[in-house]
Amino acid sequence: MSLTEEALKERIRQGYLVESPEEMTEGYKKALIQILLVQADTELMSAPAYYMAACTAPSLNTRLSAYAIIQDELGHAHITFRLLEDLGLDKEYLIFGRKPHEFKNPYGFDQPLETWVELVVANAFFDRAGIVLLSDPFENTSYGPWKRALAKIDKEELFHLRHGEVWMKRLCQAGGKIQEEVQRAVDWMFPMGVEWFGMPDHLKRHTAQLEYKLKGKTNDQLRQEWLSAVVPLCEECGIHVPAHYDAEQGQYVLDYPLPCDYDPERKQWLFDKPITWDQVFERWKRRGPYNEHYVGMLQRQYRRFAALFDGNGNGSVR
Amino acid sequence: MTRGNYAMPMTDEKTSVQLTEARVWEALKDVNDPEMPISLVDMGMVYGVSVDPQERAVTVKLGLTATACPAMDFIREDVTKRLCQEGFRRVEVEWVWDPPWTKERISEEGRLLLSCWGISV
Amino acid sequence: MSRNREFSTPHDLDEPTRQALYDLFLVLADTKHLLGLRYGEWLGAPAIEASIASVAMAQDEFGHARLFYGLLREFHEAGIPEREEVPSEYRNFEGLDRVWDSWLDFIAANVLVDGALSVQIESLQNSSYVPVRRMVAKILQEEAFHHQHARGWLLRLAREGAKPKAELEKALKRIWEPLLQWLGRPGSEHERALVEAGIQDTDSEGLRARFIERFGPLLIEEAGLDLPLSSDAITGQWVLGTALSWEDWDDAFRRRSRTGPDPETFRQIESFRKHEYPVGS
Ligand SMILES: [Fe+2]
Ligand SMILES: [Fe+2]
Repeated sequence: MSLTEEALKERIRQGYLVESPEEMTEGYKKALIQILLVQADTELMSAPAYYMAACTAPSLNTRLSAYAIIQDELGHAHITFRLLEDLGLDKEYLIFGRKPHEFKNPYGFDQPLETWVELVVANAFFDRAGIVLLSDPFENTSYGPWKRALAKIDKEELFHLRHGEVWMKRLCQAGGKIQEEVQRAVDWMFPMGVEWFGMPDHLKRHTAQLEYKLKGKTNDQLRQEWLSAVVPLCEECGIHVPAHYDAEQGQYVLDYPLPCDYDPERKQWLFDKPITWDQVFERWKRRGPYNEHYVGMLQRQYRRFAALFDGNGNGSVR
Repeated sequence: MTRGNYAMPMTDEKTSVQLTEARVWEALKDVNDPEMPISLVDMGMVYGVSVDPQERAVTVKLGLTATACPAMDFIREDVTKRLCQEGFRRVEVEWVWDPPWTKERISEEGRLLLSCWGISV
Repeated sequence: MSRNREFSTPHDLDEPTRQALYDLFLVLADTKHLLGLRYGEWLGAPAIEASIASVAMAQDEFGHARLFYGLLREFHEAGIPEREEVPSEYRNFEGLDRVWDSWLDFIAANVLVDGALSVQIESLQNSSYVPVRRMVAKILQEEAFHHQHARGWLLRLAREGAKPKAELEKALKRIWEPLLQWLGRPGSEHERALVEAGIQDTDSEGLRARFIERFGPLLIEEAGLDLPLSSDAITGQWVLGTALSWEDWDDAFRRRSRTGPDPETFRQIESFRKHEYPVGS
């Protein structure tokens, strides 16, 4: 008596929350796994990226706040991998068994975060992206366990965001060289945030994620939400971003072509080199310069440790 | 300065409301722990409050949940902002470790709220 | 310990006691700071639950270090100059100078280093130095979780096969002697000053006795590890089978060599100074 696609979609339209795999169709489950995996990997890979920057913290107190954020992110990853486990996936394999290029985190977390300034801009921009992307399913998702898990995650992300915004303002108030450093970070991290939200709606094939109400908003809507928070923040900081509010259109518009090419070695966007979204996907697939490094940080000791148990008939660490 | 030294509590000229300790406690119910969805009062983090109405000064003793609290700055800032709204001119926040904060200090109401957020204590 | 005398600031202490207490706080602060750095490096622990625990414990250590560094401020006001910011001035436990090679080193330190720190801090529970007495309970409350973590992993490793057990033993032995020494040299002026002033409730031999009474049952009886520690068949008292050599020992630094953290590690501490950011308080 398996559930048909149509019956499930109808239930969901009526506001029904799916609670377990037994209530899913194959299509629903596949779409759910896909979206959860992106979230889990994003949370997970933010940890080594933030850690790299935390090593340059300017005081014990700031290092402490960075660690608090890293712990939260690992916690979010853990919660999300647990949700995947409930759908029949192997959490240990997902974390420790996959190759670096198999992780589905956004391109932004394949980049080196090298300074304290880059860390706080990441908190202000990337954690903001996280909040925008996750508060959508928190409000709209049809998958009950995910909705409930997001309550705690959302709250903690707000702390990361506040950390980023307070620090950005503080640094920019100092003016001079410090503000210039913030500007340099924003110059590469802002377009990174814009690209995070993916292909614009008019190019995008209609998606299963929306049909199953795994999420409720489109890429363009989410990108606008992000811009409407980030652009005013930068203006308040006296930081320039290549985007502005267009009163006529009633929305934010970019002052550069999306998508365009990026030079990861120099951390520079090439606004004079527009490309296609297919080329963006190729760049993402090639992965950014720190993908292997970050995955290595998370996985290296696991293999060494597992080797201790070889011959014990106990291949698993847990 | 301790409570009771003043037979006639001073009043805040602007709002004509007395600067009392009860009022500080009430105001602190609006200040959340930055990492938790409930107030400092419900968290049981407020260890004591002392008001000097003449100086319009207040000292708030707060017990942090962890020595590694990453949000000390935020908490101090939020408390100060809120109490300035009440008409205080000087707000002092003192960190207290003794006796240590424990989960038992969370109020009934706080517990209920936290469980709504899916946080068990 | 009688509570007749109480000290609220370093000014209340006589000169040798003030110096001895300053040295103790700096040793504790630097050791907790570096322990936090080392714990925090384990984002890639063998399980994600363990990574989360490592980063959480790292923060606790930083939190404790922050408290002890805070206590030092008044000593500087009382005339003890701030130390120079060079590796050789750092007073962290030797086993924290460089990155740990394996997860077993992590667990060894989690058991022994965290354990010794707690034994030292417990001895301040009824301290005549009021500012430290007020923070001991909170620190120990948090350390109880570290001990649970350490104990859980130790027993698991010791019971899950000959190879992990042997590797664990090696890791424990690597820090065994310096760690036992870290609790202090018998008869040093430092411990005499601290005990006489009622700041610390026992001397170094007392601390070591407490340490082996606590960890003997766990390491030897429960985990069945081969370490130079045994209980006397008649009295049941735990006896250390290691003769500690005090040559080159520095009482103020609680180290044998004053090299401090290696360059890689020190770069991370140096970042606290080499910047122009407005870090505030
Ligand atoms: Fe997160
Ligand atoms: Fe975050």
